[in-house]
Amino acid sequence: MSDAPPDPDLSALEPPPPPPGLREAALSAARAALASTPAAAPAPDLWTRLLASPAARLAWAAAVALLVAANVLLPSPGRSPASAASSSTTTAASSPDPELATIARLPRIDDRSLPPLPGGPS
Amino acid sequence: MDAVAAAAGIPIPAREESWGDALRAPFAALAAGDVSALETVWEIASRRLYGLALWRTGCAEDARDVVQEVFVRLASRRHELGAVASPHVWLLAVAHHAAVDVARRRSRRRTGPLEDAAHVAAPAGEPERAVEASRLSLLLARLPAAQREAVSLRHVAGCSLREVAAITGVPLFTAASRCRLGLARLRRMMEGSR
Repeated sequence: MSDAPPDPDLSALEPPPPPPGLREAALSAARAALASTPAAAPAPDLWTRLLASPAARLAWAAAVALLVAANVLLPSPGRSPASAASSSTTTAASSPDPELATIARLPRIDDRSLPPLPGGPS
Repeated sequence: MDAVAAAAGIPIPAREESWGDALRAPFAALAAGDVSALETVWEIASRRLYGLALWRTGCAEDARDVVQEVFVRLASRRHELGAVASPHVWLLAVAHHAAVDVARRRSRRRTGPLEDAAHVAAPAGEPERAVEASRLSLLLARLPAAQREAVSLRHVAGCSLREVAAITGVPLFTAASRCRLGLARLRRMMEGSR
């Protein structure tokens, strides 16, 4: 037959009361801290936050630079390289300079000047 | 949670009315800048905060500093209070961390024994329990601080094991183990003191 000690009945007890004077000291310290804490500013809206954000500014700048570079370096879709090259010839052909017109004009091929084919009808 | 407590051999204390719910309104008022809510928080929580500070530090002078520090932090962090899910756990966790800081700072200077601090008190309408409270205070003072804090939070303050773990910042089973070991040691001391 065991004679075990009873469980300590802690739930019937309470935490000790705070000592006198602590209430005034703690509350006055809290009030002083509250007075020195600045009031929270209202939360800025989405556009203000976007404009103020360094990351968003960098993203805007990078996007603009990319668009400008693409506009300069890439050809436009309606303008192929062949048509770009022929446009300069056309410009030369329509030039009023007769010497350039002579150089640019292709020689005509005269069928009658071709040599007779071997074994063909004469 | 009660299954964990039963498996660990820990008696389950009777549920008391949640004082965390009573703290919600003053927390919201403080977050809105109402200074008078500090007094409401004091009325609801000061005894438990002082008790926790005493259980952790073992020194009435340190416990005073801890309670004062808790109220300063409560005021300076009032913008966070509106989003606090469990106000009583938040307050006790702040008190725990402040008590650990204070105990660490003063550990080098401490010279006297800790048995003079009353760790528990008899309820107001039951003076016949004063002798029992005094005897248990002496025994609680001999427990390691972590076990004393866990046992007192669980059995005097009525916190659940999960709340004890959240307040003291340890895993759930560490909190349960501290409660179980602290109670076992308390029983052995009671047996030896008879």
